[in-house]
Amino acid sequence: MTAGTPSPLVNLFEKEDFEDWSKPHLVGATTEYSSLLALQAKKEGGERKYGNGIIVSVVTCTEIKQGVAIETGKTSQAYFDACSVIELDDEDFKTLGINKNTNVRVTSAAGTVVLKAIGARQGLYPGLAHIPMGPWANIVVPSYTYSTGEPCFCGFDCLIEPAPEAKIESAVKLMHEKCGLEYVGDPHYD
Amino acid sequence: MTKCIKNVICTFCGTLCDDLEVDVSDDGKRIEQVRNACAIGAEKYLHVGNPGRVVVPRMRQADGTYKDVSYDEAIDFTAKTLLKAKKPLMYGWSSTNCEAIAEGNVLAEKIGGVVDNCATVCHGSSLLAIQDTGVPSCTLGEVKNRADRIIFWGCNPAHAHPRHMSRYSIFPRGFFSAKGQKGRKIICVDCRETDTAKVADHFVRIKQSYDYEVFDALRTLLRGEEIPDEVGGVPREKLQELIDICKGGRFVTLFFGMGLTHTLGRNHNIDAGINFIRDLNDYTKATLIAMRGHYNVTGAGQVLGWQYGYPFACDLSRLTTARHNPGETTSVDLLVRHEVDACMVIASDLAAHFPFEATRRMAHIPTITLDPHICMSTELSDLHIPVAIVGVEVGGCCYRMDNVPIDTRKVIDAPEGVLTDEEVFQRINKRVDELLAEAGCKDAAEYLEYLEKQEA
Repeated sequence: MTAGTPSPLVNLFEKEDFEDWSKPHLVGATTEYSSLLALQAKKEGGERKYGNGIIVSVVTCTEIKQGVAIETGKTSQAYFDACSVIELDDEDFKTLGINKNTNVRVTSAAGTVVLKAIGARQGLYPGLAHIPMGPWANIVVPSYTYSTGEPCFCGFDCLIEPAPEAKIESAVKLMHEKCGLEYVGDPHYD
Repeated sequence: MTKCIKNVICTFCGTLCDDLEVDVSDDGKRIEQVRNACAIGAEKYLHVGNPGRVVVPRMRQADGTYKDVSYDEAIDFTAKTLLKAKKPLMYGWSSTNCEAIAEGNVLAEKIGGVVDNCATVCHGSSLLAIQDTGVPSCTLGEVKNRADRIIFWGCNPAHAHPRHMSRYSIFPRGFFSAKGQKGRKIICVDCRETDTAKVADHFVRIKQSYDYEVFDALRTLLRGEEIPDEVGGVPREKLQELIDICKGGRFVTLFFGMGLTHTLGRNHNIDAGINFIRDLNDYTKATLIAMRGHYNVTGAGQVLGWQYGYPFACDLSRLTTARHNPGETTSVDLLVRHEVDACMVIASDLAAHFPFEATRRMAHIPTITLDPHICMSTELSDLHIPVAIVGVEVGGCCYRMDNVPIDTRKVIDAPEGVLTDEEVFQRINKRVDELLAEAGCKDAAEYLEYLEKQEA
């Protein structure tokens, strides 16, 4: 696989689970997807390597930049800059073979989204990634709640693949596209 | 000449700082300057005057564009949509005052809706654990005046509650803590070395999702039993050191956050944490406080608690009894399983903070959003009703993270014609009553039958 082409796994979720919004999602998929990834990783023989990507555990947390940007406005550039990123450990950048500030494709059991990979602002360890809470993170957050009402915001497995050519969508456009609604823009922020 | 308003309560996070100074213009319409606030609080007050504020309700058209409508039309649409729905979801409530929440619950009871607040995706599991185990808690004032051992577990106040550390937990000098930071030992437990960890005396990095095991190991050590050499990535010696530090203190407070409730184990993590604090009380005084996020998410739970007995996920769709069953009546599950047929988002942003699976469902059912600003939810809803901002343009009761009620203040006037959350709910309630009376129905169930007959 060359850099920039999504793995077959991405296609699987795009086509079968993701586009047909009328079907309720298979809620047990989280753990199955994790073990599938683990199995693939073993097959490949490398540590957490899968194709040209790596498998990481992702946490989504709040950050002060994101908090300030929420108050500035969720359609603002500040919000986009604060939330459409994924923080990776330096080791993971080496394993992925990309430089910092490169776009990557992040795929989980729930969906797939393009984000900018940046260096860790608060210390991570190899295999742990952080996405600030927001619309971009929520595309990949599995909705399974283990009967508590709380989805898996922290500690879900994701496949990270380099996608330098892919574009990061703005929050509103992303939500509209993924929800299958037509994005017409809005005089309030266009 | 500006006028300085002192002791303003900041309505951003659960810390509810009460010492802000806000300079407002003479006519009381513009905020000029904010002092004592954190970066987020200052932005909250200063951005109010930014251009682009929505001051009339907006309705989405068939082609996806928005049309301005009057409040009367918006309220009529809301009342009809909610009455027509079999099981509407009313989610949010965390960024408004308790008065509006109480009025909203009256509406929910009338139309047979499910009332759920932001706790459902943040501290809902903590509330479950507290119901199971109890909570040895205290107020933030006690922490400031007494605590000499502070543990931050899975929370990051440096980012989420920026003034928490300087007002209550690390730096302030209190009655029995005259030495301030020098007299306190700060421990931070997290999987990331957060900015909070950087100011802590001891940082314990645990492997992601190993919180339950580490709590269990600490309890085992506390009882003088043996544990393996390493638990959750932490060496035994380090855990023993933590126990010694805690036992050596006069007053221990554990602050915990999303790191525990969002990760594997959920309420069981909190259960273990509460039990650890309970065990610690054999040696010293120990307490714990949940780091609640929104400024009135605690109040939303309090109001629901005293009205129906459940702090979140309260299903009133049977019209006669309130039900609470996490995993069934919680918002995310209801949306993902397609069990609600209309949605009302109040003073929160469902679309920005729910897993996408749930948001997608919300976008495809009739949705009404009450929010002062444009946010993700307003952009995906059929109707956006703008309201006044609590703590800036309207006062009201809010609960701090330690369950202390604080009366917030009005600083400036709301833009002309903009209603408050409470007023909007009062008017929707009135309209629902009118619609029921017109149809000669006594409740929402009868109204549904009436609608079916009309269609037939």
